[in-house]
Amino acid sequence: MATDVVIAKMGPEMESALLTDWLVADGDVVVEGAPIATIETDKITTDLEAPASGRIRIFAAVETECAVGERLASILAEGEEPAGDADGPAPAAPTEGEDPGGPAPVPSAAPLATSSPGDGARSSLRASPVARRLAADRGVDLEVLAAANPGRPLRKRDVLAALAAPASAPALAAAPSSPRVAPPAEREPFSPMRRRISQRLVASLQETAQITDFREHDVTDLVALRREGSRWAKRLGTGLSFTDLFVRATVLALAEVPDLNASLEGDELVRHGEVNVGIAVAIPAGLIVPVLHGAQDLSLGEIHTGVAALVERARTGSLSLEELAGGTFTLTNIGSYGSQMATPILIGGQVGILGTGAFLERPVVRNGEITVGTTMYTSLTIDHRVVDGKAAGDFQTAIGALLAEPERLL
Amino acid sequence: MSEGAVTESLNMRWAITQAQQEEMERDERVVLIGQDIGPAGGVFGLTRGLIDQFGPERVRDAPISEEALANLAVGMAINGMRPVLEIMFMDFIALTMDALANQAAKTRYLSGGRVGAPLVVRTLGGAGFRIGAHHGQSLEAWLTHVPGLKVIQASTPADAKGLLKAAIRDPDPVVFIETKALLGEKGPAPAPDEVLPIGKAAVRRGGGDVTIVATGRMVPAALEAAEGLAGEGVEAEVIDPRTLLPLDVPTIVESVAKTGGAVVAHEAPRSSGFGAEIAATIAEECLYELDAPVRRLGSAFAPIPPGPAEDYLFPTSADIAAAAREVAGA
Repeated sequence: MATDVVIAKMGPEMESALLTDWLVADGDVVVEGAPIATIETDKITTDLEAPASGRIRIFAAVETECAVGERLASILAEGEEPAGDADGPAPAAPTEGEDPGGPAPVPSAAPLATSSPGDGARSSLRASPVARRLAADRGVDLEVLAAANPGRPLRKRDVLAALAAPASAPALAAAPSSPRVAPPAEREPFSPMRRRISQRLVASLQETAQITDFREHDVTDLVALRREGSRWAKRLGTGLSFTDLFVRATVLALAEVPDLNASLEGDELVRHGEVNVGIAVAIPAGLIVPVLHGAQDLSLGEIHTGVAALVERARTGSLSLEELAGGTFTLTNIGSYGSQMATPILIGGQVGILGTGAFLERPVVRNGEITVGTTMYTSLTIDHRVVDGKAAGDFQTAIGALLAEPERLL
Repeated sequence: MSEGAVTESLNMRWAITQAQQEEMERDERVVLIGQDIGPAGGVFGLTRGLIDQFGPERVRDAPISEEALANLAVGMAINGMRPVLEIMFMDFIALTMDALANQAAKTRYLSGGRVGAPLVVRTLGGAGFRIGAHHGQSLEAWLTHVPGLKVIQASTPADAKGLLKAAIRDPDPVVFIETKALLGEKGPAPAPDEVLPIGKAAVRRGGGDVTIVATGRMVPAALEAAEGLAGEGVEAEVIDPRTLLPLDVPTIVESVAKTGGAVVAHEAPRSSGFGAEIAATIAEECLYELDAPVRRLGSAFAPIPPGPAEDYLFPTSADIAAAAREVAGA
């Protein structure tokens, strides 16, 4: 009996995944548990494991978006013939005597958008006949043009524009004496992850009313406490980072301003019981936001362990979907790249996101005297549809008080 | 009907009458046959006064039997006359089809080229008068499928006059479609005795962004659409084939090769309409020039309903403009 390879639902919000690559060829013998394909959701890239041992028949083409439950392949027990299937593309029965070990083309019933080189499959590229002819005559790469003009067929004018583009850089064309050759632009396809990020962020900005509140805080004592606390923690074999302290401060500040630990769901404002703090982590492919769940119940030590594990798994790409879902408020450390203020963009329907800026040596006034202290800015973006500026101000005040008296965080 | 009194402006009705009158004066073999074309002057008034000038022998009122009239005309034509048969509503051309398609159209071929059937069927096609399912059809595609016929559909008075004269002089059978909705059209008068060539399209308006090929009532609609599009920066070229069979392919091909896209519009139902022939010809001749799929516009695939409901059946200038915009990528 054939076993179907399907996209399993890996998280409550997951609807589909992008099939990024097959690790085996059609007709290969696979072993149960071995990785056979890589898939990518908006949150995670993961391997798909063979659900059974046998010979694999591949139906889905790479770079296609597959719905949860969609059949990507079948694994046939040795000697078994593929069966027709009313609700899925039936593969052509292999011809008697045909070498089943060789890579067979994806059956024609599969989506046409395969990009495996040399398999003769039709391209999904849409271009008008005249655009194709012009491009062929003049050596314009339609694939590149299509990537730059997604969602519509290419037309003659697109090809003409591509041809005109280098020549129309007027400054270059006007310098007659020694014609400078412009260094060629580097092009790379917008990665699926970046596409997802852009969709999310644009949607967030379009659907919410975001305002950002800036506040400067005196963190002189916080820096001292962390230095001391860090030494102390190391002796216990753990650690204490500023991120841990910011998470803790956030939890406590949200307890004072619960409207910011909320999301708008339809016509309802949901104030979450749990404080699930998302922590933006930069990774080479982009930005990922793992979530520290139930932060309201965690001690500083537990926060440290949890955050460190999440960051490590984010950098190694081994986060689970659960660890990426369910955030109720997000922290982003803009100070990590030296910035002081930013306008973070709300994510995941949340009402607040806090950017923590770089530490600055500054003159600060204490008890009527100017002394050298450390300050930082926090940039708090809120959804003004849900809360007003006062909530942002209250939260900033609460955070500021906590950062100024950091022993309250312990 | 003073002779040679060519004014600057000519209306469609008068153009059709004038063409018949001039040809009857020129050639005594030309005779008219039809229902109520005599003292009544034709139900649309297109033979008004002709019985007074030429008498009942040459302007022959006929009984209500299109089949008999068509066969009479074929016989007269084969025997050297130049009959002009009026079929009052194109819907009734169904009754003449054996005479037209099986006899008149094949006479030249079956006689080894020695005998023609130089008859003209004038018939009033198209809707616009809200007179229901049997009086407003556009059946030109039935006729353009028959080798041996010529099919003309003029949209301006000057073309109607010049092409009807050409049809009467043609040595083979010609169906001359008069678009009812355009009978009130006025336009510049042609020079006296001007005969237009059959099989030559007219470019009604020049433009480089999209080609609109329109027939009959859709010609003024296409011109109106083109004027609107010009305001948006889209220059549409409007072609009126004038003769559907033989079709002036080079004029259409030349235009589409220039613009890269075409909209085809007629009053007949879209499916299997003559627009399909034009669209297919464009695909065959201009595929590598096309920058967008060819769009066809026609009436809904339905009998023409009675009363004002018919107004919703046919493409409008807005429909043509929308299709042209899409094809032009605007």
